Amino acid sequence: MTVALPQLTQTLTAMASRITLTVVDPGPGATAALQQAMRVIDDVAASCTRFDPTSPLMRANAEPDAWHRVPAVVIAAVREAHHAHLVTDGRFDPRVLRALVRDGYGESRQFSPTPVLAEPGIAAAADVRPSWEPAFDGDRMLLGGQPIDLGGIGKGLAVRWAAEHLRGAGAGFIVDAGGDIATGGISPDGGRWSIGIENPWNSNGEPVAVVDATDAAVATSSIRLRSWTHEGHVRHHLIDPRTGEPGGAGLVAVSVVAEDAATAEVWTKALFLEGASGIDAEAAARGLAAVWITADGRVCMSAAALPFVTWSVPRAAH
Amino acid sequence: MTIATTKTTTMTTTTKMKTTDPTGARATWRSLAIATPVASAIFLASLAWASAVTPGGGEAATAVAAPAASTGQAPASAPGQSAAPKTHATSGASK
Repeated sequence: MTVALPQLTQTLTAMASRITLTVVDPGPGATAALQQAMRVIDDVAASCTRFDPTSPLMRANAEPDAWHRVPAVVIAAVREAHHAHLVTDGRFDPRVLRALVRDGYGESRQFSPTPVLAEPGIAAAADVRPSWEPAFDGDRMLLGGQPIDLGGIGKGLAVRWAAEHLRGAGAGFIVDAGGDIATGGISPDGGRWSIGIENPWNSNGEPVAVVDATDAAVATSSIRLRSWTHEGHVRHHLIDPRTGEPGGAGLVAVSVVAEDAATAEVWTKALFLEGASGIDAEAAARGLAAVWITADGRVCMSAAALPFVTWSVPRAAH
Repeated sequence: MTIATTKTTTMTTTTKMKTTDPTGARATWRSLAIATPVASAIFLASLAWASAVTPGGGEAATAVAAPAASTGQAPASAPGQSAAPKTHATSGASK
């Protein structure tokens, strides 16, 4: 018989998500660690949001050609975004903000709770290379001429940095921010951490796959929720910087298992943009552990994902 | 804040993998895979399979997942298990 270990849990709402932080079999410093972890998440949310015109990020976005003094967390986040831009060969590009605003996603908004699948995205262009060069000088930052959106990495960074505070606070921990999840140590039942991959057509039903993400992170990018109609066209939030249009033709969701949540989140988006025809080759070339769901419901995975997948179905039930 | 105070009666020992190279994702995850004999065997088999397929083949991933088609399980799951196992969290669209 397995009995749940003691747990210390705190929840908060930030970055449009309900975020739960749990320490399993907490040690004496667990409460303080949880409070520090929550402060980190709040800090990222307040400083890096694009939905508050007074946030440090948006003040810099207002004059992207000028140097700005910003909090350390913004410097760290933009540095990480630049790193992601480089390692993904430009597929991850926070300068897609203008395309999102053009498509009607300039302000925080409520999305339809039911699946609204996008029109087929434009196929990704073959040519891609990094082209964004922000600059840093101490606590000052130059965005390099265009406003940016840290939405593609901000929550992953918040989960990564929160997890760093919880590691060692007990026998195990989880930071669950919905799409972005990080775990460490043992789960409440004393075993490994099992994370479900959501069925995009039935988010409250059985997952399409289960992965062992112990001492790892899982992130999912999906167009299940963040799709909308703008000027008669269905749009979604995953913009391909090569075309300036919603990308990922033939895909509905991509999940990646990686060493931390920010890395996983960045690669879910970069892989998504490859579309159903290109994602397996890109995941194989990069050695990424990825699970993806096509528009016709197939559940697919890369070879590198096999060691992590403990259960799956071949098709997502509509 | 919620504090659960249930006492522990059973605990499973797990092996922690320490990653020292944040940029070496591929090596890290391969080394993690090798930590489990069953997973390692599957992983190596999948590598052998992957090396035999035509690059860019869209069906590659489907073929890897194909063993799941008949049983509803990924290759590493326990035989006879058709329902999803218990999970601790779900990764999906943000709520």
